[in-house]
Order: sequence, then C-alpha cells, then structure tokens
Amino acid sequence: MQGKALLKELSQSFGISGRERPVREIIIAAVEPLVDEIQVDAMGNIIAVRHGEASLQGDEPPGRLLLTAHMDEIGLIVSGFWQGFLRVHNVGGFDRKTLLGQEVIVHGRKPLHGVIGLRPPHVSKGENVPEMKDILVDAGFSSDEEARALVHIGDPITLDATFLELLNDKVAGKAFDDRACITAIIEALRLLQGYKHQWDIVFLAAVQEEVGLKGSTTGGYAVNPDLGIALDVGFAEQPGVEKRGFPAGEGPVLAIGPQFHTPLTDALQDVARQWGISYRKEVITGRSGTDAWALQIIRSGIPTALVALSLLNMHSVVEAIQWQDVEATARWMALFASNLTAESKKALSLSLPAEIEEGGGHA
Amino acid sequence: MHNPLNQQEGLYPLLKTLSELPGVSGAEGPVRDQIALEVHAYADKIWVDALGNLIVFKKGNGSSAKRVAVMAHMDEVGLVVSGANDKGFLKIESAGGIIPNILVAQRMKVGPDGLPGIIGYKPVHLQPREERSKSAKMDEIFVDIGAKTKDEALDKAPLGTAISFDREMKFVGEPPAVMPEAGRLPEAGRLTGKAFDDRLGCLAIIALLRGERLPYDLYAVFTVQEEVGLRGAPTAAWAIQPDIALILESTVADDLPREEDLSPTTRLGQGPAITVSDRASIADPRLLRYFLAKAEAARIPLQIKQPGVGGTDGRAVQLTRAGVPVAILAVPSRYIHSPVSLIDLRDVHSLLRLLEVALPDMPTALQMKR
Repeated sequence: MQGKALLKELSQSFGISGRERPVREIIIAAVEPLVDEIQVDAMGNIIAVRHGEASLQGDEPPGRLLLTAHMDEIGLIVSGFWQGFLRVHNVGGFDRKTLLGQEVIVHGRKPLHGVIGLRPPHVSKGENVPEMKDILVDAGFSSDEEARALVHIGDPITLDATFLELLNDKVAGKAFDDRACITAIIEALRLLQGYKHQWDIVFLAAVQEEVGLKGSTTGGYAVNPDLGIALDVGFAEQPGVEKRGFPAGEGPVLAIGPQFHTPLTDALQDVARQWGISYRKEVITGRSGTDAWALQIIRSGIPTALVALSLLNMHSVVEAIQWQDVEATARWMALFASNLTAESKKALSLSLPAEIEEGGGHA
Repeated sequence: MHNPLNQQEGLYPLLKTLSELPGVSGAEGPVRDQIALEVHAYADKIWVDALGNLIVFKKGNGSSAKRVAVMAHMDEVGLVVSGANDKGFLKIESAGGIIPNILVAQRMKVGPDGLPGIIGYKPVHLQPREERSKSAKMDEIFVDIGAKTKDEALDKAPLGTAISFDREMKFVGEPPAVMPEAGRLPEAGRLTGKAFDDRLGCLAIIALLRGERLPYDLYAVFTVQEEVGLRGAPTAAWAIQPDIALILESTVADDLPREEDLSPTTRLGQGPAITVSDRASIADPRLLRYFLAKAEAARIPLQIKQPGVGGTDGRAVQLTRAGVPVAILAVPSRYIHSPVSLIDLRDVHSLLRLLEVALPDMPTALQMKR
C-alpha cells in the first residue's frame, strides 16, 4: 500500500484522539518494510527508525532526524441516551454545521452505521446551528434499552466518508489532517530506500494531537532527536479564506518565526532550492497549533521546523489537498534527510561567536 | 398463485438503485429511464409527456368503468450550477427546499456523468466564536470539482448542470443478519439515504404495475418537478382526466426527542401516513374514510399525518379541470430533503399491504356520502 492508495486507506480508517488503534495498525503495516526498528510506546505513538549508513556499520550515527505527524482524527464520543438516540461530545474542534447530514460509525459492541440529521425545511427554517448538546446520532434504535445493548457511554464515533478523486489530482476525504502528512513521511521513507543517508531517520506517528499535542510531547521526549520537523496541515486558499490561505498545489509551506529554528529552516530552503522543489513561506509568530509547538520545548529544547500541506475545508469530511503537494513534501523530506552529514549537527546549531571557546568563561 | 406486492422479488435492490440515481428537479432523466425499463413489460401503453412525466397505462379487467391515477414524483431536491468564480469553484442555486447547513461538508455528484464534487466551508479555526453558531447562507456554498479556473469549471459543468447528493443507501444500526432471498424487502430495519422522497412512492407504483390487473383502468404517473412547485402533476392529470387520484409520497417524520412536546407530524415505524390536510390541499373525506376502514379491517398500521405540514402533487391534481378527488399516502421519513433521510422498512411493507387490500375497491369510496 503506497501513495494515493495509502492515503485513501488511512483516511477511511478510524482513530479519534485516544482511540487510534485501527489507524495505528495500518501505519505499522505500511511502514514496517521501510524501517529497521519499530515500537509502540505507552501513549500509543509509533516510533519507527530507519538506520543511516553509520548505524548500519554498527557505529554511532552522526545525528538523528525526527519527522513527525499525527495519526488521530477529530470525532465524537457517546455521552448518553435519549429515547434511543445517542447524545455525544466532541473530541477535537468541530464546526457543528459540518456534522449535519453526515454518516457516522458508532464503534459499539460492533460497528454500527448511524446518521446525524437535521429537521427538514418543512418544519424548520434552519436559522440556528444546533448546540453540541442538541446533536443526536440516530443509529436506528427505538429505545434506550435497545441502544444500550450495543452501545456504551464512552464508545468512539467516527465520521464516515468516501475518499474522492476530483479533477487535476485534487483528492478529498476525512482525516487528511494529519494523515496526508503521515502519508508524506512514509513516502519519504520509501524514497530513502534509494538514497544513501548518514543520519538515523526517526518517524514519530503521534497520537492525541487534536486534544492538546499530547503524543508528540511524550514521543518527542523518548526520541530526543537532534533535529525535528513536524508536518501538519495548513489553511489552503478557498472561498472565505482568501487572505490566510495558500494556494493548494503550489508546494508545501515552510513556517518562519520565532519558534522555528532558523538554521534548520534555512537548511531546508537550501535543499529545496538546490533540487528545484517549490515551496511557500508562512510567517507564524505565535502558537502554530501543531506538534511543532510541543516538540520545540522538550527536554533542553529541540531545533524544530514546521512544514505544512495546504488543506481545504479543515476539520470536515471533505478535507481536500492537491496530491502533488504530498509528493513534493515527501521528496523534500527525503532529500533533506539524505543531505545531512557528520558536520550537519554542528553546522545547524546556534553557537557562540568563534572567538569564544565553548564552555569557557571569565574564570 | 398470488404474490403479495410487498413480497415481490427484487424490490430491495430496486429501492437502492432508485434512491442512489440522480434526479434533481428538471433533470429526472436517469430515474425516468430506469423506471421505464422496470415497468414497460407490464404496460398496455407507456409514454413521456411534454414536461417529462412518465405515464404508464395498464388496462383494467373490466369490472369498473372508473379511471384511477396513482402518482409519485421522480425528482429530488438538489442544486443547479449558476456560475463559477475565478478559482474554479462552482456557484449554485438550490432546486427545491434545502437548508444550507445541510450542504456544508457534503459530497455531491455533478451532472449526468456524476463528476465528484465537494462542498467546503471556511475552517472552524478561522471562524470567530460568534460566527460558529451562525447558519451557512446559500451564497457561501460553492461546489469544488477540482477545476482550476472559471473556464475549466464551466466547461466540465455548464450553467444549469444539476448537482445531486452523493449517497449510498445503507442500513442504520445493525443490518438484518440474513437478507431475504431474491432481493425481497427485508421485513424490518431502518435505511438511510437520499431521495426516499419520493423514490419510495415510485417503488410502490412499480410494484403495483407488476402486480395483478385491477378492476379499473390504471394510470401510473411518475411526475417531474414536484419539488420546485408541483409543475409536472397538473399536466399529466389534465391529460388523463382521472376519477380518483392517489398520491404516494414520503413525508416528514419530525419525531426526534425534544424538551418541549411538539408535533412530530408522523412517527417512524407506525405505518404509512394518510393526509387529512396539509399546507397545499385537503384530502377527499370519502377516500380518507375508505383507507382508514380498510387498514383497520386488515390490521395494517396507518397513522394520520398531523395537519399543517408540507404539500404534494395532490394539490395540483385536485385542481385539474373540474376537480379530482385525491388521497395522499406517505411513508414517514426523518431528515427528508437531506442526504441522510431515514425510513423504517416496516412502514414500506405496511404501505404495500394497504395498497394490496384497498386499491381494488377504491372507486366504491366515491359512493359514500361526503
């Protein structure tokens, strides 16, 4: 399973924050042939390592590069019963409009198909968007008793959506945030099969990003990389997002700003220019809302960069990207990884002026 | 050997096909073609009129001189392309009553070839808190087919192209452990999908045409453009001049639990609903009493639709020429005019059973006192 087919499978799989097992299994199967070590940690993160030349010779690698994206998706959780209908809470942030008229899968004792409806125009003007407490999942039960036989409070509910291929290599589906980036990293690891690389490349597929960057916080601690690149989705240009969005299909977007390690972002840009990879730059001065925010301040600090795929309709079942942006991102990450040398760690670090000896002082 | 209407072979896959076919008002062609293929072998005469209504004549066995029209509409609510912006997003108008919120985050089929399209919306992250509770407006709705430019968009989907919901019919909850043989309708279970309004009516009429000859001449009418103002039914009724018209529909079930005790209009699982009066017409009292009596005698569940909601082809037919007595029977559906409408199969069975017992003698109702 690779490329677009892999994204399709990941998109149509299930894994709301904290309940990522189904999607985790798909990622493990896809990544296993491409790495030398793979483990699942206490939180459910996947940490997979592809050894560089040094490690393969049994030597200490000159450095370890972390590529991370999150596997969890936003979803719902059963919070109660009402005359056979399921009451729900959201896990992650929803525009409640995007829930109306959708199909869901209730992961009860067995997977159950359900829908979230809306009172029709014959009896409602649709002036208000229902509050979360008023959103009911209809899985066809006639009574609470009938529902409770198959569903428990706390059962996860995922949105159900078909992966669609639109014109011009645009694709759409659910959970592209952030499984499009999971796909990009796996494709980068596949490309690295054909490139020599000195550094060890560590892939962290993180859990629980949508509920507070949790998986990357512990996963980043465990990996403790020399350099870290978080891959996540950003806003694409679309109706209503004329100013903040970047045009999908014009390459990945590199974040520039205080939290993003300048030598690392510079080095990424050098590689992109050298290999003719088109990319855009976005200035972010505050919270990026991504795993890069968590990664940067792990332990004594990790030089961190953020690369974003431009996504339309974020946090809906019709999230859409241009497929060529995934391919460009994969190529960029693979080329960057293979260009890291024994000198890179020092070259990409912030340092004292040359005339002052490291560790020295007035004494 | 007698084969009850509700036990006919192939009704389940036929319902799925009819529900999934695109047939937005004014673009009913795919539905009409499918129905014509299903019924032509049972017709004494079959034709399409000037507006696109499909009319199937099946001669009676001669014991009644009445002419009866049984009608259902083929069209469904949807969208129509009205332009494109410079970035290649299609602008739309709605055809029929659609609440814009239901369109947000939907996948659609564009045009006769079913080109996939999506309806996006500004991400929640970019909506200020107060904006999140505001409903979407129709002019914020664009359909994205992946086109890059206005020209490409309008080349793939010219002005006037119909856009329908893209939705497979499925069971909600648990599907039946064993599906009936030969594609018969499962006895119970709830289905979700689009366009049950009114492909369920179409299905019931197809079953009638396949069934035994009735005592009177039957005109089965599959109408166009009900959802945009009852355009198809009056011309078909004018041509047929029926003595009685029976409208088969799918209607509002607004039976979700709510804090206040409000009218549910109809409830799922309580049988088909017969109309006393809605916003568009008042049913013929004789036909109403007739169906209620027949249902009671045969112990078939039949509920009365709470008055005041919706309107059907019944209005248009009733006012044809010098007037036609009309009855309206409908299968309750939750969330109609959405891609996740939801019905109970027991109600479909009850409708077909009621037609079975009530249709042969229906003209006798006209001899009752009004």
